[in-house]
Amino acid sequence: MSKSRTLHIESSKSTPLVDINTEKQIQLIDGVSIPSNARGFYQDVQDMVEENFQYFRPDTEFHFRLEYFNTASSKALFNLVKKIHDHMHQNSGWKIVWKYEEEEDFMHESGINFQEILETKFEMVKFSPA
Amino acid sequence: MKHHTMKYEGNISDDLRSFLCTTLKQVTMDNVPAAKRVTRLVSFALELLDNAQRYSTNGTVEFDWQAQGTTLTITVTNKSTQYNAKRLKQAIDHVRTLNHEQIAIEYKNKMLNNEFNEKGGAGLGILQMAKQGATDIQLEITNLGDDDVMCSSTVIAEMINVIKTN
Repeated sequence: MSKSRTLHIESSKSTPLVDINTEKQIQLIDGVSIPSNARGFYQDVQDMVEENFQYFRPDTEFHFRLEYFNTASSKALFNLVKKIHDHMHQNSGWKIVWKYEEEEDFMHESGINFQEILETKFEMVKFSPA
Repeated sequence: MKHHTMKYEGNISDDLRSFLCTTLKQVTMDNVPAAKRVTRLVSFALELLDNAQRYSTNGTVEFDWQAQGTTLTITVTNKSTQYNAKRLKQAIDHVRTLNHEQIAIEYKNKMLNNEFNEKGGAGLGILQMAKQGATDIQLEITNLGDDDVMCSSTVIAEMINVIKTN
């Protein structure tokens, strides 16, 4: 039986692309995140990740590449990152990669804030706008 | 520096907020080429619109974005209940009493606690705006009778060099 567990949600005008596949190295949340029901949207993602922690590869990278987000998304994303971070002591090969657009310090600062609160380090990666 | 304005009055939804944010980003980049941190400015508008969408009792808002010189003033007006308006006022009044260090501590505490539901983050958004360098946050409440009030939230920010508070 395959150990692959997946969650794929296409992006919309107010929600990001979510591409989680335990057999892949890179797990991705990518786009704009401003839904009014951010808690509901991210609860599904968090549940899926939490229920399948044991199936992720030892070299898994969780990539967050958000253009911008509302406060509710910020809190929900933080909760998700925290869950991942809490499991990282058992999975030392895992990485959280926080991507931000160059010249835009909003997402960069959000990543820094998350790191400070969790007292950890993400891999911070700058990218150029398309 | 060009003066520019954007106004909207009508229904509010997730799609409409998305449209407004994309438009505001482009409007700012085209009118204030020296503006940095455009996303941060748009996030202020987004926060006010989020609140209005959550608490508007008739599903409509008045949105006003005014850039004059280097100063941006964003005002969002919506009908609300006395209770919700009072909660928002308490959150704003409280944040206005905090210094930068206290804002950072409260922000951290709110991110770590579970005081968060479908109706919002119990003042997290207001804290976040203050943390991100909003120059001022104001709220005006006008009684409309019974339980209805008109709630007008304003955020003022500098467009060229948003002050980094933390």
